[in-house]
Amino acid sequence: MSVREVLGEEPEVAMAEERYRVIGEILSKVFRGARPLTLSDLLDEAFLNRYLGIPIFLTLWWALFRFTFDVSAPLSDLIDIIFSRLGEFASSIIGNEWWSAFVSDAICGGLGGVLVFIPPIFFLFFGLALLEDSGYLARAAFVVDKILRPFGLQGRSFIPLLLGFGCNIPGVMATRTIPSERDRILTICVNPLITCSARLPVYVLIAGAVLGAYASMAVFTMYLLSIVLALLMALIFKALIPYFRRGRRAPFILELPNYARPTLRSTLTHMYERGILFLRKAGTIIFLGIIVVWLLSSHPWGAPLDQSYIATLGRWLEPLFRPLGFDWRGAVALFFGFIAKEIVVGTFAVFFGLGEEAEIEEVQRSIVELGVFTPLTGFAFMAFTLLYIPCLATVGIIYRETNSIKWTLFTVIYGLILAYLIALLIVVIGGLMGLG
Amino acid sequence: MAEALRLNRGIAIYAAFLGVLYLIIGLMEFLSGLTPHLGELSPWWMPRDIFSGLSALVIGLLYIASSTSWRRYESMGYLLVATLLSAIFAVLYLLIAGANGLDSLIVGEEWSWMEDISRPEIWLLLPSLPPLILSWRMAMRLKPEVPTSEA
Repeated sequence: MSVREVLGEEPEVAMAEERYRVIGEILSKVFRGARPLTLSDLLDEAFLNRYLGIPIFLTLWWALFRFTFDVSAPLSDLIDIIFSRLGEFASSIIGNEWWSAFVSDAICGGLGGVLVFIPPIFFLFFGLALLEDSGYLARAAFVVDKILRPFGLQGRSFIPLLLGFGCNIPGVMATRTIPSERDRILTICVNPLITCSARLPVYVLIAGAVLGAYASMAVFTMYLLSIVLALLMALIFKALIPYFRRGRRAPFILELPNYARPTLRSTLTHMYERGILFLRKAGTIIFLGIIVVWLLSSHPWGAPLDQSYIATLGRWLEPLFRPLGFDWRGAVALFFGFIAKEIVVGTFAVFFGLGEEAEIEEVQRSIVELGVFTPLTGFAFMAFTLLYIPCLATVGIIYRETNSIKWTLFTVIYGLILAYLIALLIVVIGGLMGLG
Repeated sequence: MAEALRLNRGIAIYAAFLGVLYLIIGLMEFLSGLTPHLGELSPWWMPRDIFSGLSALVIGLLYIASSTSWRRYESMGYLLVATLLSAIFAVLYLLIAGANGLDSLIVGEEWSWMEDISRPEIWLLLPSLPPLILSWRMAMRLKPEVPTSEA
């Protein structure tokens, strides 16, 4: 007979209940009268309210989201401009054409591409440190735990998942707040399915080009699909992968700390400790990735992009994507998108000879005129973009956070398979329904 | 102690007024963001922002909850959190306005500062200040000192 059967409940829960019963007994002997109300009691009336608790949590998350991405934007732009000027300066003083392009596009462009992520990362961790040090983050986990539990996730998974809507990198990094290793890995595995802000321009481009009046609905569907599939995959992984089923699921016991006023020193220290990891870890991976893409897209040296190695790769990949209705341009755009989703729109622009800074309407017009996508294959392309790995930096962060090549590969491969299957399903079902 | 924390009728009515104001603003922002047609009809200073609209609705509901439970000590909790969220959003939108201004200087694009600083959430902080100060003072009577976190 197990301890659980003897106690009639989880041992951890029984121990916690007993601990607080003893504390209550001691307090009743040493204190007279009712326990005085504290500020934490008052705030918890609202923050842990059955009906308002979750809306308050979502409101605070929205504030954190805006703080992370909107307030940090000028600093990201400043870094971007500094590195593009540095690139221009380097190309003006280096005589050799290849070295000039390498230093300005690959080195300066690559470094700039990494460093623009620093402001939102640091702002995010500043905001998270404020919430954590104030004692609210523990309440947030408590509030959403009941919703996520049926899907095999826990309350602390919610913040990493929600942060993923901004960027999957801080989303994956935020899983550090989850103490259970299995729950942490599961949250990391499904985090890339949350549609990050970098994917939005791709949706807007394709939906605006081929879906006409249904464009907004199609974009909204991507967000909905993102949430549904993340929860569904968590449920499936939990059911099918022995690692996530190994042992008994620990009950979610959380001692709620008193609310506290965060100190600037403590908040800045937490922000620095977590944020600096991004520089050390992801920086090297995305930087190297960008250099590799540059080498592939600019060689053979002097050849136009459609004759480069990357285009050759696209044509090689084309048969694989043909069932989905994507030509070699779609395949190459998805390949570039593996490095960073921001590159997809620019890639199409380059293919149409419009340059990377082209207006989105020009690119959309070319997509329609050249028949790159039908409404159905365009929608399938959007779904594929949503579901395969967000960017190389996310892969790097997943590797660093799981410290496992197995989980990293698993996340990349299942994402690709899921993206392919869902896109194929869209094309097949849509085709059977006569949509095209 | 709990008895001493009840809101008086005047504050409860004021909280209800603020709640209704936030609910109206939130609903307008939400509907303007949801349907382009309504967005065109709404005034220029009204942001078309679904999630900010929902956030304003939550603040409004907290003020309403505070006023409807004014005879109980919980009302103080609702009022505290409502005013806290009002302050957070006002400061946030001011920061965003500042960031947009800075960004326009850096990138060299035009900045519509009127649009940024005319957000209702910024201006609603002013009427939220009296209950914020009052509820904070009352809450501070509970504990002489608020603990601070250390690194």
